[in-house]
Amino acid sequence: MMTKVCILALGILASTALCEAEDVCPWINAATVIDAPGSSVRSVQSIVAGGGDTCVFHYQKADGFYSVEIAIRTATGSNRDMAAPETRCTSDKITLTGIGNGAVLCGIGAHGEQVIGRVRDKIFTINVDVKTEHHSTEMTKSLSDRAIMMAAQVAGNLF
Amino acid sequence: MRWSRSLRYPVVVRMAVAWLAPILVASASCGQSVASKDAGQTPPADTQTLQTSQEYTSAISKGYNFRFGADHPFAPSNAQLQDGGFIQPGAFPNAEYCAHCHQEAYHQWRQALHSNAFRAPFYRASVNILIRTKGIEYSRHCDSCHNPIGVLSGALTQNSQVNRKFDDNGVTCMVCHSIQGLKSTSGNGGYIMGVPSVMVDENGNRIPGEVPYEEIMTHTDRHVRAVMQSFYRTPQFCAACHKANLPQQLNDFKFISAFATYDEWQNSKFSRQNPLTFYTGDFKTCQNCHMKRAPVVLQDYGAKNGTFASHSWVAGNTGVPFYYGFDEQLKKTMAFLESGEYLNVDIFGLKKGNDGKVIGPLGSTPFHIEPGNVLDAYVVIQNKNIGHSLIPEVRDLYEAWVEFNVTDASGREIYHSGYLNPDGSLDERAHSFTSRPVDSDGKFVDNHKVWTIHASAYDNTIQSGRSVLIRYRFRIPEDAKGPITLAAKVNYRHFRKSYLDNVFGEDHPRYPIAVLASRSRTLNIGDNSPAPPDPQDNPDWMRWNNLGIAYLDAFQYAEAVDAFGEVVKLRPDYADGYTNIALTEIQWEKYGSARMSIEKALTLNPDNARALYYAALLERRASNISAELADLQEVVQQYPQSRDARRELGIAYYRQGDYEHATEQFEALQAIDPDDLAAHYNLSILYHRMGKTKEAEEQQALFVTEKINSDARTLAQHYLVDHPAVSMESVPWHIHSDLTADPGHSLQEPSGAMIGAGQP
Repeated sequence: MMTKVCILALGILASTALCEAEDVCPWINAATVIDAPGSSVRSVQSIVAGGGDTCVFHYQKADGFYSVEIAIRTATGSNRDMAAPETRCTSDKITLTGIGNGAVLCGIGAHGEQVIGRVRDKIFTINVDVKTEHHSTEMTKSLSDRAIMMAAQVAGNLF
Repeated sequence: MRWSRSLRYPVVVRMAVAWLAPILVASASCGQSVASKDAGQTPPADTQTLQTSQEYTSAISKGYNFRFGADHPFAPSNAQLQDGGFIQPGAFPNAEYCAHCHQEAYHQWRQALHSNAFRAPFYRASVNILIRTKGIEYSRHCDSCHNPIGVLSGALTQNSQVNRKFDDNGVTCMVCHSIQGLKSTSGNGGYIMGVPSVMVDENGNRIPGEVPYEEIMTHTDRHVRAVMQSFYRTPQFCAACHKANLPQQLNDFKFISAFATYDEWQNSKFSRQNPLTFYTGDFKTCQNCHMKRAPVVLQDYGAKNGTFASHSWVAGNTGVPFYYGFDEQLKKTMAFLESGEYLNVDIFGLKKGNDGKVIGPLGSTPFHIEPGNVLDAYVVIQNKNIGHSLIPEVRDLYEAWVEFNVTDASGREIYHSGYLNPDGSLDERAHSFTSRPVDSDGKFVDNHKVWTIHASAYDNTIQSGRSVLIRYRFRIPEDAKGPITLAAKVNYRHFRKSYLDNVFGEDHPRYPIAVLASRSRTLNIGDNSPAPPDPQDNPDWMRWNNLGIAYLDAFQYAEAVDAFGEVVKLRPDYADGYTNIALTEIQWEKYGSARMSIEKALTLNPDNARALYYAALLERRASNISAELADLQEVVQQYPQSRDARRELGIAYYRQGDYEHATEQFEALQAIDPDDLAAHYNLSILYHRMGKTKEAEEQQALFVTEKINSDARTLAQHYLVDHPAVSMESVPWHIHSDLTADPGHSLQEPSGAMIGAGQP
């Protein structure tokens, strides 16, 4: 019964949010971003700008308020590396294999993870962070996994 | 706790909700349109709890693009769900669930191509172009094999809100292990998917979804009944995806055959279904080579007697493990490719200057060479033990080629063909086993945009059991230090450089190159005497036989007959040697001498189906109808799955006016290969004559769409005119050379064969 109520509530809340969306994110859909049972998610909001150059998703779960930002830009000239200007790394970068031409993962701030990568001349950035009072090592791992999964999706669609 | 039916639903609900809640989100939207190409219908409001597959199907259907018809939701593929509708992605237990008990399988699968079939950039680069140019619904053709869950869940439609996290797993365990049936061997995802299930109940009914491990361990027999089918061990299972065509729904043109690995196997010696192979062999399935049992390393309850059928599916794909850093898979693949078991390279012989005689087989024949001599090296490559062509499937992307070089004793390079340029691209004049599909303008279809293919301008391969002859012409320098060494290698890489450039841009690492086979010979400048045979070489009779096969396939019939003649000199009791002479002479239309050879073969082996088949063709030529029928009936009796025999027997009956028996044969042929053109053509006529108008029209329509389009040659010519190197390669008797015109030596073969112009 509770499951049905939660799903119903989710649907109503999310439908309101989506009606405000400018467009549909061309690189990844909300369901894949959220990747959680409906009963545990509320207040889903997604914003797409620049025809998909930026996609932002916000959603609330029991353990915190999540923000996911995906940005795509075209690398120009020699600026094909992933160093700047999107880098927000506050931890060492970990090289990821099998995502795009190449990608790195790092921590951003207290409760966030970032993946920056490249597919040919497109630089993509995935930022995932959570506002929470109960951060843990498991949560960091979960955020990393989420960022990597989304990066693989975005890179796959950029190829 | 026993797992009862009433407890199953919460699991199903949890899975369904995880995947479906966002669908509710989309469904409950205010119905704004989305700026996507060919947007589907506006999703209606739906706030019902989705507990059943019917509700999932209903929710998906509301927004699904049924471009190809509501009764073909997965077209342009042949994929089918046993119960119809769509299936929730969460209904497929994921690979990590299986890994609990099947660690070896999971470990191998994760590094193998099946799990990476969708996410690999080499695939995405191509399918994304299709999605962007025509629409995501067209990609169901490709993803029925590369991402079946994506297709069957209804995710491949505009603005889908299905969670796509399954993309990372491509062909996952429960995709293969849930297939409940096969459609005809037309490929294109020709499977019938059942409800994914790891257990059946006490009555044999499939229990959907994940089941507690303890329950499985208590009833392993019911687990096996759920996840195994006898046909999983047959090549027909592989054919569901390892055979493909490009249907009219995909290309808005007509049926174009893409690849037919299954048919190649069926025609090979390994199927033991074809009496016409040049050599015989033991029965071997796809699985025998690509899923060999090996000692198990990790725990796996599927292991038997300490061995496990490999789920690495080791084959030719070095690109995927290289990209993902799957070193174990890469190592296995390289070892497989470089085992030396599959091809034979034979530097068979030499021709000196304008001397018409081939000196060979080298090693068995004395000869003399001198500085200044212009030599033609005859290199014969045999597809000895591959159950399909070299290289199969998409050889517009893969690259196999022959590298041949000649060096003197000081290491000086005298001649080199098949080198890599500094940028990694292949010498454009190399002898390569590739194809060049072209579009409606005769332009090369790069980037694997298969939906634009209208014809094949060039397609070079070695079919299973056959051989090719490659000629290289070079001059021994006057100051060459002897001895000289001739070396021939068959190299292979996954993919050609220009395709990798398309995928990654030009800044990508060099991808691995495997040496499939190689052979070198050292020649004295001066006298060369026979030497003991090298263990890796074929016996001389086989060397001549392979040369004969190569000549035959290059339409050089006189030379083929001579080569096969050498075979029977060495093996006068070898019936196939005489049959080879006969079949060459039949192609050459020298029926009188063909008859003498076939009679000799039948004297040695009266029941030999191969000889009887060709004897039948001669009887037909001589209008000996009863003898023709008798011979072909015997061949079909021995080889009921032989396409050639069924076809010819059907023709024989037809010519007699025995339409009923003729129809039987062509229907049998069609059962073996649903796309056989002769079957379509002849059945359309036979059905018409028997008054079966509807059936006749169906066959006629199939023939019209499946036959090669009338402008194919013109399109091919357009391409070849613009690409002289490939054009040269397309001449069967071409010669590779860097030599230019020499007053003392004609650059043309006595037969007028063309020679590749080289650099001065």
